[in-house]
Formats: sequence, C-alpha cells, structure tokens
Amino acid sequence: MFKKASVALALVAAAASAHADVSLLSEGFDQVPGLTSAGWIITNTGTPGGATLPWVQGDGNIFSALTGTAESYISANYNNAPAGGLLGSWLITPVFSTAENLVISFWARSDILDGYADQLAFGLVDASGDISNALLGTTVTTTGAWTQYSLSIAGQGLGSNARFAIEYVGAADGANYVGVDNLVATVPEPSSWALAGLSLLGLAAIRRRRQSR
Amino acid sequence: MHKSIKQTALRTALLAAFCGAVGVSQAATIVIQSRDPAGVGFNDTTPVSPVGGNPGLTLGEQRMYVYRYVADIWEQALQSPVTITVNAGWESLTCTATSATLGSAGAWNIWHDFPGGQPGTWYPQALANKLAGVNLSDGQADDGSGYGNVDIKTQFNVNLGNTGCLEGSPFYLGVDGNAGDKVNFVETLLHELGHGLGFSVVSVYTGSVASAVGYRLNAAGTSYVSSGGLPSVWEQFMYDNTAGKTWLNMTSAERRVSAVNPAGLAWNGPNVAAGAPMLTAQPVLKIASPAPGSAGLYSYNTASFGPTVATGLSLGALATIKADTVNGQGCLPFDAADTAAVTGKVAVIDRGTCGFAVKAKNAQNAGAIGVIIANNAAGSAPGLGGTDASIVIPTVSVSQTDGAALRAAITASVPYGTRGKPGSASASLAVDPNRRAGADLAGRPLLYTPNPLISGSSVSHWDVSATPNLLMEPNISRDLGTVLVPPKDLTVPLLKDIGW
Repeated sequence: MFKKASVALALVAAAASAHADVSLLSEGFDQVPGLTSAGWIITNTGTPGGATLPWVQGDGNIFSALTGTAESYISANYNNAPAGGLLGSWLITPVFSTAENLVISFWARSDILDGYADQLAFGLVDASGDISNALLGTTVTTTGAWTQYSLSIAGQGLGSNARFAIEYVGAADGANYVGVDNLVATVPEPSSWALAGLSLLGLAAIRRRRQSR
Repeated sequence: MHKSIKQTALRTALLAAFCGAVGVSQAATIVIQSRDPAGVGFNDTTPVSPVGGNPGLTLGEQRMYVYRYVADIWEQALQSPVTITVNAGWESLTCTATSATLGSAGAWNIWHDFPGGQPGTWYPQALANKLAGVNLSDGQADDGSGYGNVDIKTQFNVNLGNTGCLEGSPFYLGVDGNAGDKVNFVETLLHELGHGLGFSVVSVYTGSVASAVGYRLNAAGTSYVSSGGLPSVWEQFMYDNTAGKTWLNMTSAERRVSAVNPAGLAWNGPNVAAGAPMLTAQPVLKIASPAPGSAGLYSYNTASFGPTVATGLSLGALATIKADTVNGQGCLPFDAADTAAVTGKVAVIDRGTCGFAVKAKNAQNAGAIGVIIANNAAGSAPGLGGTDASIVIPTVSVSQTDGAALRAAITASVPYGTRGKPGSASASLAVDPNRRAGADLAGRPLLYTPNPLISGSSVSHWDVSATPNLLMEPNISRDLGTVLVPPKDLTVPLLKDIGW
C-alpha cells in the first residue's frame, strides 16, 4: 500500500524542511459511511444488545468537529452496549507501513455530564485486523475539549505493516458520548525519532497485559 | 410561454439514388420569407427609434432586422449545402392581459427514407435536405398556401404588449440583450428556430389527447398510430432511466409513461454527453445524521416568501410536530408540546389544507429556525407560493417520499445522542458532487417531462433544472446569450447528435 521508495524520497525532503512530515494516513471523518469500503474496520465486542451501532457520523448539534463541517467527526455513545453492559467499540484504520518511524495521532473529546466519563484505549493491531492480537497500550479519559493524543512507533523494517485501533471502553452505565477527529499517521521529522524506542518498549509490556485478560 | 410544435404538411420521399454525396461542410444559408399582408407585421410602417443596435426606423424594419440577425447566428452554427427557407408571419395569437402565446415555430415538412438518412426514420426537412445534399421539396407543387415547401414556418404575436395582450411587455427588438421588462425577441426567435431546425421530437404525438401520447406518425404521414408508425430521429437518444431503454425500443404505451417521468428521461447522444460537464453541480438538501443509513441528499424546491436560500446555508436540526388531520398540520398556532419540539429547530410539516406561508409563520411564532414542507401527494418537491413579509426563517420543500425519509432519520437519530440530549438529524443546503443540475446520475442532460404533460412543450425541451439556463428550456431566461455551444449551451451538440 505504501511504497518504500516514496517514503525514502520524502525523508530526503523532510531533512531539508523540518516541518515537512510525510502523511501515511489522514482521515477527517467527513464521510463515515465510506470508511469500511476504504479499508477501515468497525466492530463491537461489547455486551450485546445496545441500541446503537458503534462509531457513526458525529452529530453537529451535540458538539462540532475539530475541523470541517460540524458533523465531520466520528462518534460513539453509551447506547453501544445495554444498561449494565461493557463497552467494546472498535475503530481500526486501514493497513499502513511500519517500515519507518511513525507518529500516529488523533483528537478526541466528550460531551461532559456530571457522573459520566468516556474512555478510549488505543494502540496497534496486526494487518489482519485480528483484535485478539491488539496492543492497546494507552487508555485515556477524554475531556470536554478537543485534545490530541498520539503514539510513536519505531520503524520495524522493510515490509512490516500494521493497523491502528481505538476502542471505546468502560461500563456503559458510566459512559456518555465521545467523538474522534483528524486521525493521521506521519513519518516525523528526524528530531522526533529519539522517542520511538521508548514506545516500542511500552508496546511489549502491554501485550502481556492484554493476553492475561 | 407556449411554444407549440406544429407540423401540418408531410412528405414522404422515394428519391432515386442519383443524389450526390454531401459535399464539404459549408455554413448554412437561411432565407427569410414574409407572408405578412401590406401594413402588417414586417410591413408595419409605424415609425420607431433605433434600439439596442437595431437600426430599423419602422416597426416592420426592426422586426425583420432581428430575424436576419438571428438567422445569421444559426447560419454560423450549422452547416448545410441546401438553403434553409423560413416562412415568417406576425399574427394575432392567443393572449390575455396577463398571459400570451409569444409565438410558435416548427419544421413545416418532415421526411423519411431519403438518401443519407437512417431508413424508416422521420427527419425535419432542413436536416433531411442537409443529409440528402439536395432540396427534397424541389419540383414539388406548392399546396396553394405559397409556403407549402418551406423548411420552417414561424408566427409571432403581433399584438404583444398592447392593451389586453400582456400589456406593457412587448417584444424587445434590440440585439444587445438589454431587454429589461420586455420580452427579448432575439432569444425567443433563436429558440423557436431551434425547434424548426430539429430540436423537437416532431413525429411522436405529445398533444392534448392523453390516450394518444406516445403514438408515432405512420409512414404515409396521415395519422398517429398505436403501433406500426415510424420513429423520429430523436428517439434513439431519448433514454428513460426508469425503463432502462430508449424511446426507439419502446411501445407507444411505454413512451406515454416516459413522457411524464419527471427527471427520468435523458438525452444520451455523444455530442451532448461531451458537452454536459458544462452543467454545474446539483444543489441538494443535505441531511446529516449519526444513524447509519439516514444521511442523504434530497432534491428541494424554494419558497416565494422568507429569506432567499442558497447553497452553503445551514438550516439546523430537524423536528416534527403532531399530525392534524382536521385543521391540517401546522395550520393552527402550535400548542405547548409542538412549540417545545420545534424551538431552535427546523420544523418538518406536511403540505395541505392551509397556505405554505401560514405554516411557516406558525412555526416561526413557535420558535422554529426553519421549515421544510413535505409534499402530501406523489410528485416532486413543490414550489412554495404565498407571501408574508413577516416571515424571516428559511422555508424549502421536499417530495412526499423524501419527507418520509426525513422523519425516519429524525427517529433513527435519537438514540445516538448523549444522556442529556437526543441525537438529531440536521439539514443544510449543499451540492451533490456526483450529480449535475439538469442531468441524471450518469451525467446525461434531462429532457422536460413534467407530470401532467404540457401539450406541445413536454419532451421537446431541456428540463428546467438545468444550470446554467439553456436556450432550449421551455422558458426564456434572462441570462441566455447567443452562443449555442458549451460551455454556454447544449443546443448545437444535440443537433449534431441527430445529424447536423
């Protein structure tokens, strides 16, 4: 999907201009219904019986997207699982190359209501999209303002690839409404590479935790 | 404006093959032939001042100047080795104080089975002559009228603008386009000659006898017949999206249905297809909803009251009110529940019982920020008439089917909201990137197919939804010019499709 040659060329350009990051993936969620045909995976592993499907077009009357038209973000809500159930709403990107060092970032926010909070876990999944192999290293509680979250990944060599997954987690009874916008995967400028090794260590640790569950 | 297609004299040609091949293309030659008596029409000696580039000093001179001006435009647009003869007259046509038949024109003779034409197919004479390379009427005795052999016969309303005949709106005889409130005669005549030259289905019945619509003219040219008649050269390019075939391959009954298939009948000729990208993107009512399958793009129509709406306008979240089969939905001031439902939202209200402006005003008084009127019967989104200067919220309309889809979207969106606020479907005015204004989903320009049929006008025009406006729409728009090819117009490409 992403040719090695073009990344190499782009990196040469990046060296000349410190801000010329190379985007491998860039999604503004203008058209959520078109995502699955573009290689995205949306699936629900939460308690069955919720009133809504997970990860749908945002509702501009609840809050507006970070950029673009008001509804151009992707959303999930407490009705993804029934009362008393557990949420497990997965949003998984298309496959991208992990040959080079990468930074994957997205923006998220919640609709804030006293007594409720929305949690997102995120990390890598293998190219098959098999969520039993997912490495969701970070869990965050989103706030009432659009906030950027990111994950740095060290390059794993020619031919390697993966997907990035966000899972809406927690008890349905404690959740409300969450939005995600502007998800991008970029090959960073050289000065960012130093962070990559740390991320890789973190990922290995998470794998054990997920498997024990 | 009524532009009927008349064709009274018919000829069949059984010419031997001695006719030479059509020579190298040359600009057409058009001759104008007056049939007006002394003192009338072209012979009216009423003194006038030169106007808008027309130097004539009498009314008759100015009328003829415009005829020549328009004929010159057509001469440059088309090629034919055979002179095209237009018989022209100024006559008392139907009119009242508020409406008038401006004029009409049509191919006066039509032909089939001549050298150079498709066999068993009706053609207008001007085109048939071009294809044959000779004047097919040469040597034929006149029918006594003096114009029995001409290609095109025209008549325009000699009384237009006078008392009792669309008073105050006479023809504008200038050639600079500055018609103001008058009727631009250059555009009117350009349009009518277009019909006479071949912009018309010509030999398929689209008149006022409903049961005969779709019948073809028989080979003898004597009557319209349910089966066994000959097709028009137009029919191979008249593609019905619902039936999935052209008129050429339809029965009379199928053509009758297709003639009143709004936005369903398109022109699929190659020259028009090449020019069709000149049409702009189709304006639509865009419904955004978190509920999967509920978002969509819908055709809409506009209102004569309230603020002017345009692409880019965000209307807001949709809301419904209770049905009211007694008084009509939205016809009475809203009660507390309906007021709560529509405050700050766009009210979806069914058409019926009271005026559109009444419904819009009641919604506005209840705090609504917009109104969408849903048709209460089959058909497209209705134009919303009425006046009420106190209405300040935008109002648009959708079809009955689309109104039901909007209500379904409102219901489906509810569980997708937050614990404090139900999910909602919202509306804005946008453009459909996959569709052009006046074309079908495949980009083929649409023919004019209103339901019910408009006798003599249906089918033989472009649909009124075309943007920019086209010369061969049923109405003369103010923004037309004298260029007949893309990116301004699609008249010449259609004529080329049929053989010009």
